[in-house]
Amino acid sequence: MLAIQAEALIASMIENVPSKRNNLFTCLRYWFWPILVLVLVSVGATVEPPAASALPSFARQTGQPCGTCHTAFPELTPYGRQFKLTGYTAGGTRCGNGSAETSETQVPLAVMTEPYTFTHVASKLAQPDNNNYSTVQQTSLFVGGQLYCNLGAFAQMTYDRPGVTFSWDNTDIRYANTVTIDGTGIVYGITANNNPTVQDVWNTIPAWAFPYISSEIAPTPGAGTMIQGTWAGRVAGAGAYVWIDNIFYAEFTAYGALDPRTLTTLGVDPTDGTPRFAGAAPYWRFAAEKTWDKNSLMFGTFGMYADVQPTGGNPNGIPSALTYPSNIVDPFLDIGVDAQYQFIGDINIFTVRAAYIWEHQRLTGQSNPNLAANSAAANGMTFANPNDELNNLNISASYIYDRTFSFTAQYFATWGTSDALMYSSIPGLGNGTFTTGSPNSSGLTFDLAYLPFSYGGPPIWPWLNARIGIEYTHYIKFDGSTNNVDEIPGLKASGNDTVFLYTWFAF
Amino acid sequence: MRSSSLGLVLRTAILAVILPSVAHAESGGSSLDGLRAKIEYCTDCHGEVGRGYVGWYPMPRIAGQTTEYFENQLRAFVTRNREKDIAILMYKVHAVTPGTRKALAAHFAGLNPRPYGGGPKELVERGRKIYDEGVPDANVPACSACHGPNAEGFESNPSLAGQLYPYLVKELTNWTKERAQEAPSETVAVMTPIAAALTKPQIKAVSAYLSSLWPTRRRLEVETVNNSSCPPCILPIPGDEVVLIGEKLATGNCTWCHGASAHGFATAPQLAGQQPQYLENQLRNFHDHRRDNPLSRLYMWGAAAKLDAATAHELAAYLAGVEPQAACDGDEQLAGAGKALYDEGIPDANIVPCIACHGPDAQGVGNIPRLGGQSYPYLKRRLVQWGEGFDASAAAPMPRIAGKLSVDQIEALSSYLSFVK
Repeated sequence: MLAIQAEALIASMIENVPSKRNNLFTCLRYWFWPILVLVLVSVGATVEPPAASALPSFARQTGQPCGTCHTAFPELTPYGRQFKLTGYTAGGTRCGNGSAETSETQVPLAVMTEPYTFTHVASKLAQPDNNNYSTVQQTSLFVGGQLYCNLGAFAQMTYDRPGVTFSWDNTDIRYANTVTIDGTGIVYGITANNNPTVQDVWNTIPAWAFPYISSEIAPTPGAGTMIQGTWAGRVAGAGAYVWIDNIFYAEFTAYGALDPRTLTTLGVDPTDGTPRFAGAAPYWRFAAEKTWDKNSLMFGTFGMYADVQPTGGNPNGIPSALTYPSNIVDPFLDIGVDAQYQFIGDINIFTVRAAYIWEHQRLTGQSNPNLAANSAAANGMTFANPNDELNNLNISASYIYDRTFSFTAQYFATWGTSDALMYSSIPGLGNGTFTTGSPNSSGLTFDLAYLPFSYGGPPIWPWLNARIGIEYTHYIKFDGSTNNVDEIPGLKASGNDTVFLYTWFAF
Repeated sequence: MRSSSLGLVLRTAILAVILPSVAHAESGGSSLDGLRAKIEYCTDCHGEVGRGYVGWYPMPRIAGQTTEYFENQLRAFVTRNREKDIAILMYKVHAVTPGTRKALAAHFAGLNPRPYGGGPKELVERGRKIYDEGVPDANVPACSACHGPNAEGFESNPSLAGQLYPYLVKELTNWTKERAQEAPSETVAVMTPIAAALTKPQIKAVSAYLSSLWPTRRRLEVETVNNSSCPPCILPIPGDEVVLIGEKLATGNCTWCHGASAHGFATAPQLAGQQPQYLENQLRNFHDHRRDNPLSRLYMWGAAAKLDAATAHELAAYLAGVEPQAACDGDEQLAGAGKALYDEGIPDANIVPCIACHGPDAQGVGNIPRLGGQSYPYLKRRLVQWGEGFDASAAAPMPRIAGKLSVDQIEALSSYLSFVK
């Protein structure tokens, strides 16, 4: 029992790498999509188009081109942040007699798809079955925009081709309003969302940080802090925020873990080994941003606390009962600091982003008074240390030319306390792929993208938006090793280097 | 404190020395070029072809004026015997050499553009009667006796035909204060009791009549710029309902980019307290793609695409009523030089004072925008863009005036204005 709990808990720090060495699907050639891409690009290049936006339903609502809210989507401009903070409602006509044209109520629906992607992993050791792989990645349906008056939504339902799952994805529903107190403009609002940081408006913190799109096929490092997506889609949170004088941002949101039945209904697998947490987990965010003309500079901090509970799931794929272990919790604390600078010129755009997250994991198996004490085995979790720390650093810079060509370079690193049991090579513990007990990984990512429709799509569908790009990831260290990575003799960290070609459409 | 104000004085002094001399060099060349530049300088304030212009101060029609009166007035300004109490430094802006004075008088005397118009039509008939017959009961003689049957003037008696309605009303109402000053000339002395005897309704009537006249000789059509065709640009005071709808619309749309209190955000300018007629005009310009600088294309063309005139009116009424806030983001060291430029212009370089149209506190009027408190980069960008040829169809004189400003001058002006509350 304890071993199962431990394994499950380990998964809280270890992102699943479901496709790492799975038998991959047969290689399919999607000639249809590449041809469509070429046709659309050539049409878009020859005709002066009307406006479009990254989420096309936003464009239809606001009449604004993509470039108003995005430098190169999904990165936000100050106006994009403002649009989100004011509840996705700007330009909306669905609000009784206060609207410009009450008769015109646009439908807040949009589709996003990644119709063709190609992944090449450097070493056959890393992907023995097939290290060149092309596939459709996810396709999402969005409800995006004003729902009614001050209520707006960004809600995503995703069909994921490689994972063959249909599930709810990033969702942020908010009510926002503005008030002027003593001449100072204040935006205030409430948000209901399903992923800590998905409600944030800067591209520094996990949900919206670079890389914006990744191969679902290629191997990725195993260790990450809990705020880096562990809870995505598995929690529901309600929070309140204020945005004062276009400078100060403060937010507090409380999250609760969804029960397995609800998760199943929403298309999320409750048995995949991802943990849950007990009670309410607080998330906070403070930021100060100075915006002057074409520049903006932000410094912020964010964090989350959760009483992490292991699931009854098993990361090695052995299904088990969906019972959560009694009153055992391991308190996790994440504290992050971040900064972003943007220069948005008429033609040249430059962005620098940085975020550092420090995580403290208390692994002694605390007895939680809020949970029924129905287990005697309150202590004795099988980790090497009573306390582990994990750090994550993500620094990236982008240059964007005419909102059409984007180049981004990123340095990323994860490092922390070595824990021979948490980052274990022993089958049955952890996911059994770390070699040295160290969680450390680091590397560089380069992304070159072409965004042909930033100023508007082809006449037949002016709201089409596209990002076609190539992303190269180089690993300096992978899962604690530079050689014999993941216990595979001869596999260097750079053997996991990945070239990822993607197409990304929204309409 | 001491050092910074000393620095300010120094920089102001340096600029004051450099700016005119540089500009002087630019306007050099042949005397004919100099005269052309000076004529343009006159029309920057007095409107296309000297037909007059309604800014913060109504600028009188100088086209078709008698040469003698024209020269007399230029002299009167320089000797501080006319309008010495208003904020424009008349004695500075009108200072020209005697030769230039004569040449300008001759040039404008020969012009006959379409009157600026805008006087109340219903008063014309009544005004005509007063003009032709006087007001015998009040001992007011017929105006036509001195100004001529067609009001085209004679020697030192000015032409009044086509003169601006608000200008005539202002002069006749304030005659004693503005005109009957030290060393009054004979003509001024004649007018003093007449102006005093006229009642306010009589002044309005006779002004309306005169403003409607267009002498028949060599008429000159002036291309009417859309923006400047709305004298006297006074909107009805908006009702509560209009403001309320405007507020809903603005908070749902404009404040997204222009800031929660419309005080400006990022590249989007402050709209709070802006002149409503100006806002309406600009929204129309965005809608019709006349305002075509890159940021306008990117943001405002889409934003104004579906705006109808009534909605624009409601938005403007609301935004005009929001308390503005000075951006204060300019260079304090340059503010002194900027103020000097704003208040006085640089007559030697044929740069008119901004105050003439935008008002003593840069608050704007009618279709002339409030500049006070606007953000430095926005002001700078607009002034630079005019020089680059963007927004060419903007309110008549601005592209030309901005085109004459050096980068240093633009920075000084923008700095100063960003601090004006």
